[in-house]
Amino acid sequence: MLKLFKYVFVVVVSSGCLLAMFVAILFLWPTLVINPSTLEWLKQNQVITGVDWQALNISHRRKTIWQRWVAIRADRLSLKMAGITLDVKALESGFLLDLNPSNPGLLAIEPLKATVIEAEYQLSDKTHRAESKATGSLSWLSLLHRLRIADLDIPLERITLRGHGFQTITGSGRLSVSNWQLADPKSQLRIRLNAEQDPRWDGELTIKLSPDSRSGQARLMIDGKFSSGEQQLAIELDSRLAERSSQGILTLSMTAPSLGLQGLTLNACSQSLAWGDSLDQDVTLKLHCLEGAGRPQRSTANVLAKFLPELVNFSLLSQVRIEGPLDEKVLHMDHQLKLHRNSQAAVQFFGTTHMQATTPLRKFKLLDWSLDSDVAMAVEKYAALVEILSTTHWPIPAPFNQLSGSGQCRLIAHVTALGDELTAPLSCRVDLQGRQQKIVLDADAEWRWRPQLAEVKPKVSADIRVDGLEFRLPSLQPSKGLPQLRPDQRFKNTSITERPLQSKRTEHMQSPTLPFDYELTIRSRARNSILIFNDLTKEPIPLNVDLRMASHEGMSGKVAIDDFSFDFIKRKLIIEHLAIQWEKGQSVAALDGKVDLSMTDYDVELQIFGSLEKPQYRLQSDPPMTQSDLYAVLLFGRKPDALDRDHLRSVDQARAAIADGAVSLVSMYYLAATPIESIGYNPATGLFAAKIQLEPGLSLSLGSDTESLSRVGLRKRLGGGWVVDTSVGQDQDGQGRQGIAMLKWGRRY
Amino acid sequence: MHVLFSTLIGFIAFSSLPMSALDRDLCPGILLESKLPISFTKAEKELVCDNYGSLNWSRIPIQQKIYFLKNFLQARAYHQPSFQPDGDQLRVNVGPQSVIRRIVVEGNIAGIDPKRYWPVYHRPMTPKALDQIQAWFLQEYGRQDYLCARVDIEAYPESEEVRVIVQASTQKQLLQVNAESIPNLLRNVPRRFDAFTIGEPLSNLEMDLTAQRTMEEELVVSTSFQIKCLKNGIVLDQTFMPGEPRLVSFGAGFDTEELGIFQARWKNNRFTELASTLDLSLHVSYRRIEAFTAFDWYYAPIVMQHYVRNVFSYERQNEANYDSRQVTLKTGPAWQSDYDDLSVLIWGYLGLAQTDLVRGQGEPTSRWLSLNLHNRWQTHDFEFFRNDPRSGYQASLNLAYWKSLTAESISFRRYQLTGTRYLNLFNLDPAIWILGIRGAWSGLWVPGGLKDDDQGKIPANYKFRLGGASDMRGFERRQIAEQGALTSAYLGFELRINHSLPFGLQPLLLLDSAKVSRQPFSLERPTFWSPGLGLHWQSLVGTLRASLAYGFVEDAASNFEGDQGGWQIYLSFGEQF
Repeated sequence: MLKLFKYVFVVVVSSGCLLAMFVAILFLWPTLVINPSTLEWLKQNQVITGVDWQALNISHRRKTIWQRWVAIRADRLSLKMAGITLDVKALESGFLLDLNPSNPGLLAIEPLKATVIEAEYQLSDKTHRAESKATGSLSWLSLLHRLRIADLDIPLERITLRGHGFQTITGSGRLSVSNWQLADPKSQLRIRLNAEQDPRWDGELTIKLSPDSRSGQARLMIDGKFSSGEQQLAIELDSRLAERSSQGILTLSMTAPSLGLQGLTLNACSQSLAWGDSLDQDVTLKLHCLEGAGRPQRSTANVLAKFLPELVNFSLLSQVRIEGPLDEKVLHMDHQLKLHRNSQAAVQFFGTTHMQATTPLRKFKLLDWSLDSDVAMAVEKYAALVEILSTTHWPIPAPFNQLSGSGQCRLIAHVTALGDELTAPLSCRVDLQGRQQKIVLDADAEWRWRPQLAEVKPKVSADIRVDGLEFRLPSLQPSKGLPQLRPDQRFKNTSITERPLQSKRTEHMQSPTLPFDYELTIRSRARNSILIFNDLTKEPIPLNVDLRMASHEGMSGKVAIDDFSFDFIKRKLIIEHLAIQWEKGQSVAALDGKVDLSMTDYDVELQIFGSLEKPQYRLQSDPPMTQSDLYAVLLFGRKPDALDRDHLRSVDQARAAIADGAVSLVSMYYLAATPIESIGYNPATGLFAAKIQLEPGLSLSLGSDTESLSRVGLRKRLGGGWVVDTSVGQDQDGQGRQGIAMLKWGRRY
Repeated sequence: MHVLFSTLIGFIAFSSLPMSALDRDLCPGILLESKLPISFTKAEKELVCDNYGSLNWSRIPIQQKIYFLKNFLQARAYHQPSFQPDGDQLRVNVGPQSVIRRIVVEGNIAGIDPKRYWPVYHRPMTPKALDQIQAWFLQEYGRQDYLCARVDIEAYPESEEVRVIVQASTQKQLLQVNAESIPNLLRNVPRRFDAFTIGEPLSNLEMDLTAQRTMEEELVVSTSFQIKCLKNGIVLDQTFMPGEPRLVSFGAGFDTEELGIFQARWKNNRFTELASTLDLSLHVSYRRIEAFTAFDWYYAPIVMQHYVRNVFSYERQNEANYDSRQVTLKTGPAWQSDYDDLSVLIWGYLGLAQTDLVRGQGEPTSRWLSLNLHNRWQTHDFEFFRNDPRSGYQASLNLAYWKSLTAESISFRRYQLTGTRYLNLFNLDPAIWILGIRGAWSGLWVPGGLKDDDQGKIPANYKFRLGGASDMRGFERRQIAEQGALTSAYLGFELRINHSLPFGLQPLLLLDSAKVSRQPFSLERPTFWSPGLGLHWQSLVGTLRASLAYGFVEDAASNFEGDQGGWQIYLSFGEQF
């Protein structure tokens, strides 16, 4: 027992002596232990790993009894640890160490000079695993609270960030500190970074970190400014850093002339971040911004921006959570954006959009997501909207730009799962009024989209119900002809040589391909919902509209006038119905109409059918008459036996032209309502010409061959059966010709 | 003179300077930069000018103004305008006015030369001009029996060219004509006037001529065709405006030869269900009084072009060299038909006439029996454009055998060959240079020779005389061979220049020549000439013609009675060459 005691005593005392000697040597002559040779031996024997150097020189001197100044100079120093690779061409630094056992620590680093540092950070699973055991404790800060760094200026000539599934980022930077001390709140660490490949950016971060020894927390203040081209981002973060969480205030300001935004500001957002002990544990970031503001871009090139107010106020509630094992980290996002109403804006957008999404962290891919949106667009001051758009390429045309009033559209979108069809119902209400004009309509629309089916286009369905649409046509001057309102498609902008000869004549206009399919219905609610004021009829023309337009079917439905009577020139016309109908897949519009003509002794009914391009007409009467009689009554108000030869000729020509479909609806309108002077028709060319008398002394030439009216014949009708006849005829024996101008009166009976 | 010359040179130099664009206010806010003034209608201004029309159209966005102005300028052949908005102001440089310099025809199966349609060349390239080109090509293709051709137009303002795309496969045959019924007539009666043939290709000229014949014959007041193009041919629908069958008319006129003229007429065109015609007319003038009754009797129980023409007339001719009164009765079969583009009329008739000669050479009273054959050929274009002649020809041949029924019996033969030809020089459309040629050869002879005593037995109005607006325009009316010739020959030329002067004025050059003889089948010296010039005015109410010709006799020394020529002015209304 005693022997065992002696043995233990000798071992302890000798070990203590040896340790004391080592400590004494290390304390008094540290270079005997820490010198290039021993370090080289340790490196070669794998005691020190991850560090390599070409030449190393270490010296020290005693500053006080406990403090030692260690100077290191290294050439071609390479550090590899935790995925970080640092290559330093030359490093020269000095460290002031406090070896007082009661309060050891690093007191100062001065100076630290490094030339040509290349840093590379490799994100890998192995790295993460290696770090997964890292502690998150802030206790290490206590070791550094007395640390002072005098002048630190490390140029980072090349920084490379690599990672599986990430784009490699390369850039450069500089880490600089001037007389920095952790305990001094004025001290700050300045990091300047820039990226060299697109998108190129340049930024500077100023970091202040103030540990609070009493609470065991630290205050972290980050002020960053980044710029990329014309885009600028400023971040201010004032956060209280705890062991596994931080809470603070974030202010973000972005100048981003893209996406229709000129600037974006998030003021005083409360921010909280929580993390676990290791990287395997969850990380949660919450952001709640009550005062966000966006300044839309006011460029004329972006028509969308024209609709936006000067300033868009909004609030943002955002939560980002990173969950799951290290290899299968998943990012959960939950954002709620609330647009506030801006009463100063001509066009207001307001409402709430809530979006939730989940994606793997390593590679963005939506695993699950949902979207709820309830956003409204309101135009409180239509006149202001007119003013805004007047200088764009999309002005509101006359006469609709003379209206005033308001309109509002509300969009509600809801998606619950990725596989679901996205449906976004939209409802609009427009109420605009003006002098003899108005637009009052309701519209319901819906946007349907299956995001996972790329080959299926989104579909927009809209149902527009017109409560009131009234507008005034410009003054018409029938006697001077109607203005050419549409471009004549026969004129080509190309050269004639650019078009090959003998090409097919079945060319169709290539309609632009829309990125979505549509189905649009337009209906008037009541008979008088749509009124067109014009100079030709005293009463406005009521239109009934029931149209459907679909991307693959063209237009179908009808535009109709029902039960409308009016006086035109000297006749009363009653349109029982007149409809232009489009059938599915048919490019030609069909006509269907019935017009009653008010006559003194007859009830004449004009039936209209055929197509819009080639209208056909049929006349019926009560009491019944022959077609010749009917046309005579229609055109001249009298039966053929009361008409002279020229009138009868006109009746016949009109009949032929009408039978050939050469008389348009407009021409027929005049023919049915006005006194006729003469009518000419050439069936071979299809040219129709008519001269109608609008009022005494004022005639209107209608049709496609109005010049031919001057060549109607060699009989000049003087009225009352009198003509000047200079036609050349055969003489009585058929043996010669005779050509004498005669003033003639004639009558058939 | 020097001042006038300098002024002229100055004007030419000024007008040859390039015109610079001027700024013209269309309305406040729109400044037009154009070389030529451009006028806009009130309706157009209302669409582009602020505060011009109604309140609702008082403020028009710039983009809308530009859109409308582009269309309005396009209608005026300004296809390359540029617009410079400056605030509320809009400056419009209208650019050059495009004209039509070249017409290219694609699928020109009928070989229509577009250069023939000269009026559109160097004219502004307007939509209306394109319509005219399209109509002209349709017309021309219709003329070439391609009535179902489709013609599309494309215009290229930058190169100032027009492309005409013709789609015409074959000349389609006429399958049938569906005609409306005319009251109290057999259904096919109108087919008597057909210039076309069912089963043959149809041209628009034949169709139009058919309608024109039907109307000129007063069968109906008006008729029209509608064309139905089917795969295997053409079907025509014919409509009628028949009017009442009886026509009564009165008229009054004037010309420099007959002076005041009065006419009255009564006609029933649908006397029977086969449309036999009864025509009564009265013509009264200083030179001629004629009461005329004709009855064209379509005797066959089916619709055909044969008929019996019966004429009873009374005519008084009061010429400078004779005054005659004649009562005539004619009757005989007539037949009218068409061959290709030629129409033929043949009428053979037996005539009875009594002539009373009040003044002039011949028996005071004589009665005659005659056997006549009248033939007339004329092309369809000659017939159709009779009122505005431009092409085609007409020829007629009249042969007659006359035998006196009076005591001192005498008989003679009378023949007359006439022809007229129009040439559209350079084949332009509308024609510019129209050359008219007309000629007549007339003769009368007595079998066995005409004795001197017999000369007086032939009534003066049966012999031939020339002079006047209808033939020798340098001589007075019927004053060449004023005693009457037994043989006469006439050949006249007229070159009319159309579409060259404003107001429809057409200058013309004329040259008439003639020979006459007192012997049958021979022409004696001298030769009569009448060169001259004239003016033809296509007025709204017809053709007014004036001619100034100088008549002279080539061999003035020859002893021939009658007018020896001199300056002669004629004014006529409605007369064509």
